[in-house]
Amino acid sequence: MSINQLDVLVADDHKLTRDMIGQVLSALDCRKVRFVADGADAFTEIIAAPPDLAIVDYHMPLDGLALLEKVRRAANSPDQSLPVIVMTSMTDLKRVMAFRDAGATEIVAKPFTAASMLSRVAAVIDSRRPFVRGGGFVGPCRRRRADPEYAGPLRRATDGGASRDADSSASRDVVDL
Amino acid sequence: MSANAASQRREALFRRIAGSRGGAAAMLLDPAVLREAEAKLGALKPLVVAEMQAAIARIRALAGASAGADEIFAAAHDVRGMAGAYGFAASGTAAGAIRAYGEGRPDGFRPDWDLMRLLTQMLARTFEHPEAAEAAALASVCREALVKVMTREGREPPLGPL
Repeated sequence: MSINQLDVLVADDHKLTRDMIGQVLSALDCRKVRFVADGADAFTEIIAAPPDLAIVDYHMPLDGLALLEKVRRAANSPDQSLPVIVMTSMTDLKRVMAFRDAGATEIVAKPFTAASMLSRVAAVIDSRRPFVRGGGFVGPCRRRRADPEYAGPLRRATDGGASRDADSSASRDVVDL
Repeated sequence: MSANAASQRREALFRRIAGSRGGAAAMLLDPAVLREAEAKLGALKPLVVAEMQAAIARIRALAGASAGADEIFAAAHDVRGMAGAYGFAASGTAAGAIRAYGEGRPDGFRPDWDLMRLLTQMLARTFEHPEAAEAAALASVCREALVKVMTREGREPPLGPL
């Protein structure tokens, strides 16, 4: 099964939560799962060897949002388009929008179940979206469904006159707006 | 492996998985895989319960002494993360209320210790009796008290789930 080829980085300052995620991922028999306790160590790991996917807690030293900012925008980020799943127990709309604006690929609400965690991992792989840079936004295209009437901020691959392949899931193109 | 090579490897891997029958969802959300993952998660329950118990005892002791607010908020955050996943939904809400009270607190913040003790009592009771019919009602009391105190302090109460 090719799913076991995944290299996953998990960042959470709570050891038991890291263990819980590790147990869920172990059901997939992943090739490599790395664990760190804060955002700074996570970024160091990403620079040393970019994983296929990072699962990061919001609430930890150098929090998930700050880490996401570094991955997406820092000059020394080795992989700005790295898929990042942010875990949070703070699921109010304002916070969720902040995660999305920072370029989170997916968000998992805590407490999580095996199904909620694995469904987000599956979404990262199955629903790959083009990567967008522009209009102050760096991250995966925010448009999950086509909306010809959209007139909001430029965070979509089709905004601002940029062109891209019609089939967004077929390739993970990069769009500069 | 260079960053670029790693990115290309990832894209090839994702494309291969997504292109297989049913894609990643078929593999990851396969009932057998989910059963195994839930069982592995369940194996941690004794550890989680023990850690929650210790954390709640610590929170109670600190709140009783009107001291260590930062430590209380941090411990409540951890309890919140563990509770719901293991059948302590009401405790999760009570812990979430404590966590929410500390969220965005200004420098030099002096907590309302009556509220802290009330929330801590709710946390302890719902942890000790997670099956009790009153658990959900106790949790809703937490929100009411939290909203009242935060509003009085001129802070924005949480709008979403605790």
